[in-house]
Amino acid sequence: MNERIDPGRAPGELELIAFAEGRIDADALRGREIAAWLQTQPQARQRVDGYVRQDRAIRAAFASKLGEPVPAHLRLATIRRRRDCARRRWTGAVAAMTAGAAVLVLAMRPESPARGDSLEVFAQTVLEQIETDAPPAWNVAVAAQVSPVFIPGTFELAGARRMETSGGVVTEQLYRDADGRSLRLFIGEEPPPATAAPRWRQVGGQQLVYWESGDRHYALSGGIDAAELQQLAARAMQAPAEPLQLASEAVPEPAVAEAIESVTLPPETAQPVGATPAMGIDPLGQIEMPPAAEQQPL
Amino acid sequence: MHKHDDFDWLLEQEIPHLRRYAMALCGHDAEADDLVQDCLERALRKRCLWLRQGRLRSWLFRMLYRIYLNRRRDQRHERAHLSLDGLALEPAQAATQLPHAECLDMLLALRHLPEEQRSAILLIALEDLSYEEAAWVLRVPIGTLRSRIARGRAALRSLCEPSVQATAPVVLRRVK
Repeated sequence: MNERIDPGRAPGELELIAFAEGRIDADALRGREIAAWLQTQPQARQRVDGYVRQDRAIRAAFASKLGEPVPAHLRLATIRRRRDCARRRWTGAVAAMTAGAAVLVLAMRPESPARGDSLEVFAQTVLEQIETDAPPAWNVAVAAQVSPVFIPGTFELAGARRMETSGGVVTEQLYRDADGRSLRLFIGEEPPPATAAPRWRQVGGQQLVYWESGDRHYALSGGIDAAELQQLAARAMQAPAEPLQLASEAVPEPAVAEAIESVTLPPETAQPVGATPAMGIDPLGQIEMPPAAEQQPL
Repeated sequence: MHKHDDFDWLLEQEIPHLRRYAMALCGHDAEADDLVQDCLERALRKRCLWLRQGRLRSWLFRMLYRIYLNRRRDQRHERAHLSLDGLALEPAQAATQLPHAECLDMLLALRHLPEEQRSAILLIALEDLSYEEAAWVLRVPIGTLRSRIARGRAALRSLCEPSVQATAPVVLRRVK
C-alpha cells in the first residue's frame, strides 16, 4: 500500500460526516486518506460509525412509508377531478352572481327621461313637484271626488288634491299607515295609450315608482324602504281602482275651491268623505283585475 | 408521450417520497397527507415553473417545505405530536436488521431536534439529496446547511447514545 496521509489534512467533522454519508468516494485518494486516518483515531471512528447508524435508523424508521399504497385522495386523477369540480362550482357561482347582479342593475337602473315619452315627462313633473313642493294643503272636496287606488297593507287614503302642472292636470293622493308613514300617489289625467312598463327612478333622495295602466299615469313616492315601495306599487298597479272622478265637472267652482283649499287635514283626521276604512284594506271585492297581459311585473 | 402526461407520470412517482418526507417533518399521518395534497395541487398549478433543470423531487420538496413552514407560521398546525402508532416498522426492521427500539429512539430523537436541523438531516439522510439540492430546498447557503447537519447529528448522538453526553462536544471546522 502506498498511502500518504498528510497530517495537515486531518479531516474535520464536516468531512467526517460527508465520509460517513458516502459523499466522499472511499476509493478516491481523499477517501483512502480519511479511512487510514480513522484507523488511528478510535474516537473519530466511533463518531463516524455513529453517523452511519443514524442514517440507517432514520431510513428504517420511515421505510414503510415508501411501500404504502398512495391513498386515493392523493392520486393525481382525484386531485384533478376535485379541482375541476371546485372550478366549475366557482365558475357557476361567479356566473350566478354576475347574472344576479346584472338583473338587479337592470331592474333597479334609474330611468333617464326620454324625450317624447309621456310617462317620463309625467315622472319628471312629479319629481319636480315633490322636490319643490311645500307640504300640500289637502283638499277635502277633491278628496271626496276621487276613489283611492288600492295600496296594500295598512295604508289608507288620507287626502287628495289636484294640481295644474306643466305636464297637465295631476291628482295626488296621500296615504298613511298607523305608524305615520306616508305615500304619495300621483295620477296623470292626460295619458297616452298604455304601453310603457313600470319604471323606477331615484333623484336626490326621492324615489319614485311610476307606471301607466289603462288610461292613466301613476307615480308612487314615499319615505319608506325602496323595496317595500316597489312591492306596494307592484300590487297597486295590478289592482286599479274605480275610475277617478277627475272630470272637469267634478272640480268645484273656483271660488269654492279657493275657500276650501285652506282646509288642511291633520293626519289623524284626514279621513276624506269618500274614503271609508274599507278602502285600501279590502278592495279586492270592488276592483276589477286587469287582463293578465296588462299585469307587468316591476 | 405528451409533455403533460410525462409530468404527471413523473409526479406520480414522487408521491411516496413526498409522503415520507412530509411524515418525517410533521410526525403525523393525516397532517402529512394534507401537506402532500397541498403540494400536489400547487405542483399541478405551477407545473410550467418546473424548468426540468434538476430533479423534480427537489422542486417538490422545496414546495412542500415552504407549505410546511407557512402552516407552522400560521400556528394552525402546532408542532405535531409524535404519532408512533402510524409507523409500521416491521418491514424496515427486516430490511435493515435494526431493532425496533433503535428506530423508536431515532424517531423520538428527531422530534427533539430544532426544526431547521431536522429538516436538513432528513433531506440528507432519508432522501439522499446532495448538499446543493438540500440547500436549495431549504433556501439556505450550503455552509449553513452543513452546519445544521453537523449540529443535528451531534444532538442525535447525544440523544440516542447516552455515553456520548459525557464526551467533549464536537468542534466544527469549516471544510473548504
